[in-house]
Amino acid sequence: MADLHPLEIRVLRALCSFPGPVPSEELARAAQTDKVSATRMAYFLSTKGYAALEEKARVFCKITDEGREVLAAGLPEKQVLRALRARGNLTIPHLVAASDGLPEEFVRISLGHLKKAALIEITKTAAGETACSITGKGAAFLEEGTAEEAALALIARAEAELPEEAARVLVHRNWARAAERKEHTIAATAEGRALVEAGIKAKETALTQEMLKTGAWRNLDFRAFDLSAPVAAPVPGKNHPLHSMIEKIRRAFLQMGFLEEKGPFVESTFWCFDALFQPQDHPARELADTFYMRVPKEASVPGDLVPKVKAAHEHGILGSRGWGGTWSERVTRQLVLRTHTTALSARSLSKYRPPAKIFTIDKAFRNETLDYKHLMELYQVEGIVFDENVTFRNLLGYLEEFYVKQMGFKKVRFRPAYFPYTEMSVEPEVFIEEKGEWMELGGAGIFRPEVVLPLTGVEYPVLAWGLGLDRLAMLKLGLSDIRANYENDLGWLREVVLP
Amino acid sequence: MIVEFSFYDLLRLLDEDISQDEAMQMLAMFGTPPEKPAGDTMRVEVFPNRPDLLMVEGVSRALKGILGSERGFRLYSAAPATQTANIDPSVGGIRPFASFAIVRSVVLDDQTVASLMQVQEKLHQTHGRKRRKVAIGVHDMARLRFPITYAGVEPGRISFVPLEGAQAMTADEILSKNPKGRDYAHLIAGKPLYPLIFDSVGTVLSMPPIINGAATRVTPRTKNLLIDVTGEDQEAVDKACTIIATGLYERGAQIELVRSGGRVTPDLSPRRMSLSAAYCRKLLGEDLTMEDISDALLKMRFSVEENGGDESLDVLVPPYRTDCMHQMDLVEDVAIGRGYATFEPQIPALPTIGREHPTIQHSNKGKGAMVGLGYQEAFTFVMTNPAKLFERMASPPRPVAEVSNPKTEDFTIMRDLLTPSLVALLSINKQNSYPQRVFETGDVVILDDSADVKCRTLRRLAAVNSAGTLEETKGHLEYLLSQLGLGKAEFRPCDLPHYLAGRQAEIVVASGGKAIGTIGELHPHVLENHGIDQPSVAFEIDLE
Repeated sequence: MADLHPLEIRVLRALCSFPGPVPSEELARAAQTDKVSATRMAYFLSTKGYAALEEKARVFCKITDEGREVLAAGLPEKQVLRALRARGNLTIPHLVAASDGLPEEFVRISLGHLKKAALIEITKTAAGETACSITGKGAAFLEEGTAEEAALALIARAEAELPEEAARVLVHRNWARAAERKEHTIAATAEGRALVEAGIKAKETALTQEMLKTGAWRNLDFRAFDLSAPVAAPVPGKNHPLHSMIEKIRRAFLQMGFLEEKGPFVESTFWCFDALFQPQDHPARELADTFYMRVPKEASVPGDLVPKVKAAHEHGILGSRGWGGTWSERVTRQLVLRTHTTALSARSLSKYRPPAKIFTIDKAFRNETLDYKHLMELYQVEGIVFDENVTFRNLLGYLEEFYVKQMGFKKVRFRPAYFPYTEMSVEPEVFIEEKGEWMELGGAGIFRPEVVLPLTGVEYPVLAWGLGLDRLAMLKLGLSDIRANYENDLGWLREVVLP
Repeated sequence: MIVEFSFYDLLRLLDEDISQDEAMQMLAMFGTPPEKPAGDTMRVEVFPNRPDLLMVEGVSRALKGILGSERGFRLYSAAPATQTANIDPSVGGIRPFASFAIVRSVVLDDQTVASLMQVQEKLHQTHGRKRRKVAIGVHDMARLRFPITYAGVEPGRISFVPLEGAQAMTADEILSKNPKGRDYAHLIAGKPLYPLIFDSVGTVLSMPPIINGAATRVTPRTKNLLIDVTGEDQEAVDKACTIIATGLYERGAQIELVRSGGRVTPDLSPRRMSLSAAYCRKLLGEDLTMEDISDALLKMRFSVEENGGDESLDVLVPPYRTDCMHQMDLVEDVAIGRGYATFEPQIPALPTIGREHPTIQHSNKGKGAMVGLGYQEAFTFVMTNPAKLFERMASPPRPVAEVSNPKTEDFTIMRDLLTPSLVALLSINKQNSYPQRVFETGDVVILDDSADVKCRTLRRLAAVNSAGTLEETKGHLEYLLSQLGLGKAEFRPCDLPHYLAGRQAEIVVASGGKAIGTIGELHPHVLENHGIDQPSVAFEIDLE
């Protein structure tokens, strides 16, 4: 059963109106479409056996400058004949002189041809010189038009196909140049003609509202749609891959019973450092690492906590020796962009009672120059677990849950590290198979009593972690430049498979 | 802080045959993560709690414990003090503390010299807080005559040849002309007296914390060393002195005490701390025996005395350890001594209720609506600059939060609007097909004196519809507002410079109330500034 597009049907009908092969232009005219569509439809018809495509080489001749001169002055042999008709019997030198500038060589060659065709007679003078005279046949020849003249006149107007012999002569005499051009012709096959004669019923390309309303669809045939053919890519509405990463992690922590918190980017050094038992002369506070604020300038700090934090720093609490030295309240009012989300965990500790599990996935800031491996704003996955009986093994339990069960890393190890506010400080590392090396992705530990007691009034352990998200996202998305997630190239965002 | 040493030197100090890979693994799990070695050269990261590991001798001392070739605290046998270093009260107001040590029979081969120079430099930077808290000098004993004196001296009376100098210079010449002098001048300049260490015949050993004298410099022929440490914190000064002296002891040198200011230094005696086994078990979550705990501590080079069968251990903390403030610090060493890998991870049974933050929940609802409308989500930076936030948006500057020490001009202030970030990203996407519909739910920082940190971090949602119409985009906004449960909005004409006049409005959701945002067609100036040739509409709302 023929399954033809309406345009294919139109073209096939047009094709059958020609008895034989036609060039595509003519077919297009007859089918009332453009040449490209006609050619395409003809191709489709040929794949279905309704049309045959042929390729034919045609030779076109184009007149040369010399050809134009000949056309204006007359054929050289006619010029010789005209001279003989006007002057009667002439010896060759006289003939050359009378032949209006034709080269002697040419005249001699022409004489050969003319004699052969019996258009002239050749005699000997008394002096023994060769002399020529025109015959009656020659006189008649001068009055006729030749095939060469007709061909030259034709190609003088526009390049054209010539009969084979004429083309050969003109090209040989350098009056024309030939160029071969391939031309496609199309002919209906017997099957095609039979189909048209039997009458083709056009199939519908699309179901329309009209057909549904009128019920016309019941009597219509619908074309098959080729679903293997490529279509244009859509422009999606889509989340950013970082959102997908963050949501996946959020869901996991919410399912584990964690409460979500959100805290300020601009933070006092009280919450960012002092409440976390970071000594006031600690190198991490230096300008090279921490953004300090010009505006706003000074925070207010919680009056009830300040003396407790001061005591922990200066001379220690709960048997701790503290850092010694003098702790300044003025320093603690300085404002910074929080260098870690742990600042929010310090705030949370002062707010919630145990048992509590609290998390945030949010930005921290480092005074870095933006490049392919450094961001000045980075996402951290921050969590704390605050309860009387939590342990170091529990800390490792949460970290393993995160990296192995949620992030899918096969090998994780926990390496001893150092943070001023934790003991059993840990840097979790995952093994990157492609690089054959361990990669550090964050920090964790159990908050020191010097942190916990001033903020909470109790001496419970608090498990805490601040895990970097950006490098994790690079690994998951196969990125080599950490900035890629913040460049927002729409081409990439539209294509990227969300993690 | 990265410390570099020769693997050959480490093996020599350890007197053990281990492979470099084994050493790497051991260093990582001890808490000094190594970098990829370059041949014999190893580089490890030393955390600031362990300045004793800033010299390879200290690293080898620690690894001997892990390997088991030496355990517990080594009692240092030092020669009694026969020499005196006077500490004159005049240093009281300027740089009050000092500690001295004599180290004899040092073999100053290349590795030892490199290690000695490195530990001084690294201690200066971290533990010494760039020489303010602690500065160290090392001298050839053969070139000085005891007793030595540490005193404050009027700058005008100081003149000596500084280390690597050719001629005598006055104190102020050193501070202004010598490179080290210039680097550290701020630590003493302007004081009435400068700290100075000199010997009994007036030879200047050092003008701490700036530079040593050339007269007592150490050469390859030097056999015996005098170490001086001065600074603003007695304990930090003593620790630095002990770290270097005991480090050289690991190389076979002998320590001789020095009488100084009514004390003898360096401090070589361990400090006693008590560790409750119950506390240790509870914190680690592991049912450890007293032997387990003792064994781990011995590996970490503490000595342990059990307190007659009760549940507490007396721990002797070596004098070079600076980090043991609380018994929790000892528990960490127990964990490292046993190996973090020996602790089986375990999630506690701790029933709590998970709950989303309402702002983030709200914001995710907004994201869902925008994605449904065909908008692409963007993530942009909170930090920006005035050109991007104001100038390119054809807007006059507004007061915003600003950092005082930016590294580059690109990131100097905190954004108070999201829209400029979205417009900027469209300007780099001109090669991609239109329409371009983008949105972001992100945070901005708004100055607010009523907050403890004098500003607030607030969640907003902004969208730009590039090659879109105001009419269509208003439809999008209304859908978003309805999905956020904000009902039907009123649109009040407004006059913002980044929108085209007469084609913008404030969005009011509670009749007669405060606007929660704005919508408008972006001004052609703004589009031109960003090289965008598509008419674009933007809206931005507060999600708090």
